[in-house]
Amino acid sequence: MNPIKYKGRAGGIFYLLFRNLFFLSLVLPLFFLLLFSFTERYAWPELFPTSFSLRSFKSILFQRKALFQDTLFSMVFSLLVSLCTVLVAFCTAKYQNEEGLKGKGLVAFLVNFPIMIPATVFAMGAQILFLKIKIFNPFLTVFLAHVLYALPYAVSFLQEGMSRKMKLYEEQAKVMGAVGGRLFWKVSLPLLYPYIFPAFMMSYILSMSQYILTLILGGGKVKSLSLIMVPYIQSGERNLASAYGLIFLSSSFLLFFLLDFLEKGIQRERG
Amino acid sequence: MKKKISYLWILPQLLLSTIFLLGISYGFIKSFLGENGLSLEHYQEIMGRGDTVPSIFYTLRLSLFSSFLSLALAILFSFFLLQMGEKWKRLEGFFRIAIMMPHSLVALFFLFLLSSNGFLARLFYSFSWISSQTDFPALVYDEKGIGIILSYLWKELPFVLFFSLPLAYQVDEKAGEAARCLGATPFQAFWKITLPLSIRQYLAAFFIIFSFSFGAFDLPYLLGATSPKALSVLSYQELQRGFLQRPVALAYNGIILLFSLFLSYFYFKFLPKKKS
Repeated sequence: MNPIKYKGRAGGIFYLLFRNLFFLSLVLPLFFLLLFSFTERYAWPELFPTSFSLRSFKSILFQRKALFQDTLFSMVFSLLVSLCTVLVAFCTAKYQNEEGLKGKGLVAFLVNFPIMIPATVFAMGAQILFLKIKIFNPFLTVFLAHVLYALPYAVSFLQEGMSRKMKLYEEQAKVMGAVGGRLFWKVSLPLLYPYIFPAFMMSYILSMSQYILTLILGGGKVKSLSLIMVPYIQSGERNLASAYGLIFLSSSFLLFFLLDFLEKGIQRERG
Repeated sequence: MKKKISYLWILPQLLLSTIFLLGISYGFIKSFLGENGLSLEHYQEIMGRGDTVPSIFYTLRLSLFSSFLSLALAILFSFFLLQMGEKWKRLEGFFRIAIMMPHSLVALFFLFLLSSNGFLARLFYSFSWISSQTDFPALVYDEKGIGIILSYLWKELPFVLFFSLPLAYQVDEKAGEAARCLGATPFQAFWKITLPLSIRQYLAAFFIIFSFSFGAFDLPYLLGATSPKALSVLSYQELQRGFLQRPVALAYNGIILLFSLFLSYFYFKFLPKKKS
């Protein structure tokens, strides 16, 4: 039996099987979320709810104005966190790709270290550290912590982007006379953008979903979307929690399309 | 001169990393400071409580089970996914969505699904497998932490695949293909060639999720039983009890930190060096 042919045939079946499996395991939760954010009552033993309303969205939008503002604020906050993360990650990745610099092993360790340390441990330690060095602004401390926990992923994306190939293109552009800002806008950025995109997305989502870090360092003053949602999960107001979940997911998708749109713009500019 | 300027790129990272290292060490040191200088009193205090040792075992069991299951299933799935050849990349989007889902939302899904008035219980009832809500086995808020383990699995299995499969695919394309051309069955090629050559990546992913689930807060907080509680939850409770209890909270953190550092050693050991 020809092994390559075997691979193709069996692969087709596996592909269908796994695609459906993954699809189901992801779509089912999303379906629940959508369904329950519009559910008014879910009486035992009906399988699916039968009474629907817009109550949860109405209460977010109109009745609890502070909540709506918090939601908007948390989005803006996370966007700023992502922007800062990508900038820092850009510098770090640049360093790691520059030839002949010392301490790259140590830098790789420092970048990846937060992955291994649970946020609870850092949050409580940092809380007393910030008190000690007299940084009392909760927004600043939460901001720094969010950036720290998003950096490992962002750096890994950007480092992958700044591979040798990119260096080659940059050299070529330099030979052809591109320098400074022009080199960056016309060559480096378009080449790097496909990696900035996921780095930005990942940072945004990580920042939105940090719960304990935001709770402890922010002292309740800084709201991330998780922070708004968790009390509703605990109190059993699952339709409100679902509505917030839906807002979270839509904001991520919106950002995704925005970044995608930007990518197309940049690529056109380049062409 | 140019080289010296290049060193400036690392400054922002160094600044942030310094805060990180200082933060965790400061908390750790404080957990050893008693009324009269250095002491283990806070550790003795938490060890004297009846719920600490069960909590350590409970936390360990949650993280061990979920990480081992994720690793084993990820390796199994990898085998099947690699049989697809390049097609597996079309499924990568699914992994990403799961990775990007916040843990609090995952908790919400599993509450909808597994709680005693959740979807599964209703489904069982409609098939007459159970006669009332109370017959449904406790899968959330349970002492065994089944709901938590399942939620972690949902979240971490895609992460291990996302982290390891690209490398396994690269290996499989070359060495695995060569083995198959020489007559190895797909399973032999995977088990004897591809997996041994990419196992370090899988192990690195395993230690990430192991350490994460050992110290994570969200899921045990939202889906856990009233007793035993995860270490992170105990620590947070102490913190809430007031300023004076903070060193006790930090002592719980000290246990988590020591274990995480132990796991980090293996993570950095197995993490394949990036070619530069």
